[in-house]
Amino acid sequence: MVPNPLALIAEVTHRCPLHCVYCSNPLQLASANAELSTADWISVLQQSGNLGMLHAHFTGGEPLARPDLTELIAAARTAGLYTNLITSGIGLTDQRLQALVEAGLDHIQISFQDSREGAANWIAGAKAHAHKIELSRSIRKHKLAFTVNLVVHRQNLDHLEEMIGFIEQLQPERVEIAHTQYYGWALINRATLMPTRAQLEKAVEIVRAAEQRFAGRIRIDSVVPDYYAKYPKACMGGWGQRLMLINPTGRALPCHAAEIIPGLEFENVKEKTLQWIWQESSSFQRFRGEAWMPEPCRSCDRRAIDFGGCRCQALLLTGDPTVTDPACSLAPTHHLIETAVAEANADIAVAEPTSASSFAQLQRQTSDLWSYRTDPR
Amino acid sequence: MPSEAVPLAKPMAMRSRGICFLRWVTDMTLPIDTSQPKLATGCRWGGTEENRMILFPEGAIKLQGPGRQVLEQCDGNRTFGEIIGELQKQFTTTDPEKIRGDISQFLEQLQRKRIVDY
Repeated sequence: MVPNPLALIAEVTHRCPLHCVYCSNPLQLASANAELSTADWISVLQQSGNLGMLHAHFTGGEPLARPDLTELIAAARTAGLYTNLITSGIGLTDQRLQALVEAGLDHIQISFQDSREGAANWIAGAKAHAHKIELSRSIRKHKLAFTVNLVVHRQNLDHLEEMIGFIEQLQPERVEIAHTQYYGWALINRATLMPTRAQLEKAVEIVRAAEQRFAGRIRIDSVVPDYYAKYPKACMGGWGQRLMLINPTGRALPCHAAEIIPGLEFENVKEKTLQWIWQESSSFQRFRGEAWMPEPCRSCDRRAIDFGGCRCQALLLTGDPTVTDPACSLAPTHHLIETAVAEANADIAVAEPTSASSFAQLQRQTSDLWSYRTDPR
Repeated sequence: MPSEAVPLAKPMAMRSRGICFLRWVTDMTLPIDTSQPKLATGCRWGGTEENRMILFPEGAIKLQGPGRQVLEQCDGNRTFGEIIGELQKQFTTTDPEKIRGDISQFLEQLQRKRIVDY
């Protein structure tokens, strides 16, 4: 028996009012009419509680696009789960927030794209920044843990200090400073998003100084970009080890991007129980443990630390999901990462934020720079 | 404090995206006798009676023995002085100063992780 999962990632919708250029959602987004029903989600949450899971992370897309979100949060709490809402905040009025808190919401995580309004709206492809600030003030009036998530990349790292100062004023308990990870839309836009080594090194110092300054007041979690690391990230704490993700259509995945891996059949919660999927399904067993590992992972001392890295990244960069993650400096395909890093460091150019009267116009203006995430049809 | 009290807590880092870094940093803001420690906003007890844990936004800490005992008393009313006094009475064979030192470090670490406020 494999120990049961610790947390559920409930990707309740792919619909989103934002078009962030680094979105990790798949390029093939699920449409609204393919989404699970309220009753299906409530069953998923009950089963999660029964399996002894501790957390339910509500994410998307934008979870607030689901009118039944309050009901789902309540169901998660009834099932004994700690509830975490990962949101852009668009669609959240103070009244709706009040209802979510009353339903038992424990924690809210709001993403900010930048400290500067023009740049933030440019990256999000939507006029969202001012609303997020207003919402952050409203959050502090409720009994609710508050995390600000800041995704950093080439286009905003040069003013990281300013962004951290901005976040401090929002008075969260936590800040997550996450370097872009190159999946989905972010991979398409990698050349525009990847930081230079100099940017990264400066960022590490700035984060360290902020950690000292915030000690005991604001906790900083930072995620280092794996392209610049010596070893790959322990993606999801290991395939089928800790986390189960249910996507908007009800497919159970070991990680956000797993659906892109060809040859794997992902079960749907409409047909199978979570317990069966976790214990028995071939998809959750495919890369679980060490038996699947190639060399150099199989004989590596770190195989139980990083599990050979990310299967999806291996596929995206090499075409083969069964090889060592190229982000690992020991990987035979590590030159793919080195090439990308060399290209990112060939110049230090950053773009100038632009604004437009419509999203379509913004898309046209920036078509040489990046592709915005689109909304599912 | 008996030796099995260390480590007081077993962090289970879980992250939905990316990696979690748990770091102990060296400079300290330790609790003082009049501090009234309590669980920080958004942190609460969960798990089962034999498997009590504190749930927080991105993870959980399993607590047993004196660690659990200390945190169960962190209700925002009892003072740090009272909490350590209680443990010093209970563990008479352990150096009282060691008890004070261990518990204040324990709470300081949890404050850094925004699990405890004082």
